[in-house]
Amino acid sequence: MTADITVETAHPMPAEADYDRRFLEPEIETASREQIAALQEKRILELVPYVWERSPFYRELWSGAGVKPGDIRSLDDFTTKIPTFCKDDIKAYRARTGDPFGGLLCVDVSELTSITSTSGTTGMPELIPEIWSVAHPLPTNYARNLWEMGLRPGDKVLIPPGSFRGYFDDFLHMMGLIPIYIDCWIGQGEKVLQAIERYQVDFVQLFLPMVLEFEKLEKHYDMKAMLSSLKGAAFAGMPLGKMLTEKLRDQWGVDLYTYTSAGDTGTAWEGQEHDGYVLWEDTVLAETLDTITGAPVGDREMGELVATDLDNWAAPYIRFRSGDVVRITHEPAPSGRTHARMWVLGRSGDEMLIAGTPVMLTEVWKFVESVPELGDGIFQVVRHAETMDRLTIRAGYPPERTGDLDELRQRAAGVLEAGLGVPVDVELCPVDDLLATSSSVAKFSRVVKA
Amino acid sequence: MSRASMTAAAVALPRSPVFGIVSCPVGPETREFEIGWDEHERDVDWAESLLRSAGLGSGDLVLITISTWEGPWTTPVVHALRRIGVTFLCAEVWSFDSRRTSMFLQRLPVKAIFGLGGETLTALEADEPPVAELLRDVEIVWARPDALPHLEDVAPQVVPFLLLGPALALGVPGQPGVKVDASEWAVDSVNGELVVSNARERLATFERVPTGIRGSVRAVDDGAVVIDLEMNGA
Repeated sequence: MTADITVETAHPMPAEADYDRRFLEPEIETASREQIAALQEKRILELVPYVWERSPFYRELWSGAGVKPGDIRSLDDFTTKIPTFCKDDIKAYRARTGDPFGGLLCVDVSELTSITSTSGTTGMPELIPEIWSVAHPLPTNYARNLWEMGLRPGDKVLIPPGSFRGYFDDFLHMMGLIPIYIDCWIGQGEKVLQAIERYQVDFVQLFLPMVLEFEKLEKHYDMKAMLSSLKGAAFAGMPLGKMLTEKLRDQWGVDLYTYTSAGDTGTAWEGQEHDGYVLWEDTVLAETLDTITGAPVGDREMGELVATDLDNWAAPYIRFRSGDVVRITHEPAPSGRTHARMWVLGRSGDEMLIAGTPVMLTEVWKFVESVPELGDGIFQVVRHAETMDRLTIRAGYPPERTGDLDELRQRAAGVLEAGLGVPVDVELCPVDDLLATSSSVAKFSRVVKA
Repeated sequence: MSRASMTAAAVALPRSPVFGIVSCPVGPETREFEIGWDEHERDVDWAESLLRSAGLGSGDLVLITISTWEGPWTTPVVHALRRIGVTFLCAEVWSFDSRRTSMFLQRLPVKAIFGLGGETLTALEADEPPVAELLRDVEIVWARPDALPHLEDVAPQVVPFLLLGPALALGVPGQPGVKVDASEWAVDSVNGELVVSNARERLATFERVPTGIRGSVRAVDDGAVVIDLEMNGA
């Protein structure tokens, strides 16, 4: 049986006509830290016995750590006694037992509304079982964020191209928004741009190839005018480099909201201040643990995001080590929102040892972007071993803006070697060819095997 | 709080005035038109009836491979599957995502696939396990026209799925041709090309719109226009 747990809100919902309100759910988005902690503890104390009874994976994991549900009486008990796990643990369980859900599923398959799956950037996708009534869980999690962006009933939205995490039209309808059904996939940049202008579109989901297509159209269109109807645009998946971000925001006048994964429990979006990703703590309990010792780190200190799904009764992740290296603060945002904010620093595997020197992917990015022809920041680190004598970068260049390739290769290698202090080889590749190696709608692998 | 409260806050808002605006290929031409809520609901009713007649029922697993811009044609099918109690699985239509289709087929007892396309099949054919093995236990495949030739003798029951101009056309296992909702659409053949018109009022009016698809009308029977397609495997 699926638990259907409803937590009463302390205040009534705002009047439906109150479109001027800043937040979709003001009482929740600005709840006190005490209210948030109380809600989280309530959810955790329901969740622990629930999964113990239903999930063979957690029963095995927790039994191995000598923990039983009765040992968990508080949030402190939870974060100190329940063991963490990572995706490899799910894969190992599946390989050992043949259970396609890795032992996580807490309901009968027939109770599921849908099954989506992870992007699968680093391997075969993992199943994401879903139970929902109006719209898929992932886009439903966008609701407060699109409202914050200024979207209101009657506004027009281009239907996002990807569907592997579910269909978005139900969500848009739920928000009173009007979907415009147009092919927004790679190669349709000019049609998309024209549609934004023609329909006076209010919101579009951008992804890297589309931004690069827009960039090529700059000489034919007044981009600022063409995109002026947008209240906002979202961007996720492949991080957008500094130069492209500035172009979108400063030259094209687009209020760009980036978002990221909330440890595979949902998404975390920027607010209007663009100062950190908001983690909706009524849906996720987010911890930050030292990447080496596993001990909790302090507010705004660097650590691995460990996430617990508070709002998923199908197959919740409980103390899931996401591999994302982040900083988190619980200080209120200037807007008055009180939920945690997060800054993503990279992936736990992003640090490389090159000729004895540690190198972070973010550092490589900075120096690649500083080479004008490589300013789009489309590159990959070619990793052929855990430790390497030389760093190999495969960088995408725009053929229409590139002259002598040998000269560019040498200049780029020089910039990277001077900046990183390690020997560097640069392989050049037309940017479109490099992007074509993507194995996902939105993700572009930054570290690849040789 | 949580997604339940997000949903509650959102559904309290006024519904969008139309189901959506379409700006995409309709047959050989790009057209722009609106779809209303009433006609969407009727499309769901028709899809539900057809899918039930095909043998789908509560608890079945159906893998869907569609593009989001096809929603005006395919969202009624998704909604119909939900009404029936089917659990649906989502994969992209593009070749790079074929491994997701493969993953679902390897891990779960999928009863039907909706929207299987040539790009996915071509990618699957270049990979392991063989397509015939992947599809061996799939009872029904609603395949796009470009996938039909690949599926002969591969899957037990393969029937067409196609966008016939503004209308949706679907095959039913064991029955000839493909079916279009006769209460919504009139289909005719002009020099071998199928053309589609409204049979009743919708927000957009279509009058003998060319579809770019060749075929002939076999009959109008039991609420459906039954069409014989001129294509391999149909």
